[in-house]
Amino acid sequence: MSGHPTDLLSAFLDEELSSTEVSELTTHLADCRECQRELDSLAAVRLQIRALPVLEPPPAGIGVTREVIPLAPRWRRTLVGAMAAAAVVVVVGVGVGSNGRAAVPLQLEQAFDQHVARASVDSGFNVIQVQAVVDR
Amino acid sequence: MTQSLAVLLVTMMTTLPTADLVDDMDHAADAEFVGRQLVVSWSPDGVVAQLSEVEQSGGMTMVKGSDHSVVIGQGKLIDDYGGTTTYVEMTPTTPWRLWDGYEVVDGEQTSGADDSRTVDVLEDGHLRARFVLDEASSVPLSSEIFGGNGSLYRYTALIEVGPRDSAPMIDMTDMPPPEVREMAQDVALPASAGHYWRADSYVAAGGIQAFYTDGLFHFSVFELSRKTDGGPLADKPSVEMAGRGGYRRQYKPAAVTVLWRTADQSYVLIGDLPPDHLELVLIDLPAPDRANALKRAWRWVFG
Repeated sequence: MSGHPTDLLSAFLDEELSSTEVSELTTHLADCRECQRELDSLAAVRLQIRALPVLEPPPAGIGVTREVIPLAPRWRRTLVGAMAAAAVVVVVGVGVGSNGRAAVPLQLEQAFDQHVARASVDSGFNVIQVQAVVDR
Repeated sequence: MTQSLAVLLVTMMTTLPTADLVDDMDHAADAEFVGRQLVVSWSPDGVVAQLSEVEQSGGMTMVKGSDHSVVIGQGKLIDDYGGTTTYVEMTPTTPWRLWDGYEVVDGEQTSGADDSRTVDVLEDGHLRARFVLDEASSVPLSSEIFGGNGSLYRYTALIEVGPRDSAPMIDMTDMPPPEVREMAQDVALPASAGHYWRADSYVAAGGIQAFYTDGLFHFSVFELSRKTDGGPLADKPSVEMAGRGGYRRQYKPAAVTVLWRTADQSYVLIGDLPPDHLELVLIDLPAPDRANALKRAWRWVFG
């Protein structure tokens, strides 16, 4: 493994690497402080995002008027606005993400049935094909 | 010297027209028998074996497990599992043909029995499949499928074969109407993978099924939502195939199942093809996604 395999670290956390890649990566990690830090950082970011609270909107009717609170300088308002927008994106994103990532169950039995039914149309020795379904 | 003899033996074999193999298969499908069948596969992940009761009648074949029986033939499949019956019907129009890279020859008689004959299927001059057929019925008494390195990949043997009585194999009186699988249009999967061609495609649960064949082996690729979970394959380790990581696979005696994901889809391959063919096929199918960290983080948050 040459260079720093930073592109593999995220896949490693998702357990999507092959055993060969895992072996090579862990060997590299054992000697590379830089990649260890990168891996720690990636893992920490994920933990932080998971730990974010879901914010409730404020109750309606509570307003803030310009007469009560004097306006902050323009640059500060812009900065605060940008931060608020970013926070909304993250919170909404987590909300949408948690819904959007809802897994669809893999219908493997149906897939086997459909494959073997189609295969049975062709000339062939059916006994071998049908055995695949029983032991799926 | 040994190689020369092998070449001589191969060249002395009689090449059979493909039609003869089709006749054998059709003739075997008409046979009526009961028996038990052993299937053993020497897969890359270890040896797997299965012994099942089999029965064949009226062009349909039944295999029974402890709580499971399946009947297939002529595009119909009746799957009775734990008291739940599934009846699927498919009516493709693509005619069967054998890949022209295969050569069907009279094989060397290996069993010593007079009531059987051997049919070999060669690929690039190397033995890919050997069938020992019952002389009278053409039913395969045994079959051997070889990997690309010449080693045995799958062995099947029909044992304790006998005549069946005249009772119907299944009772169709209370059978629900079949679920007819419709053809799918606008399939993005490639028209060929390895030397296999996509014969036809169907609407499947949660996606599309593309059926590939080379006339001897078959596989289906199911294109599904990326959010599809791994089912029983989720616990399998990610393995490298075709020079790429990110595949999860499960070898069973009669079939291999492979799951992988791209940026937008999940794919499941189910088939009886040998491991070296599988590697070649995967090269031509969409590659597992090895997205960069930013892309992964985005997908991780937003789904």
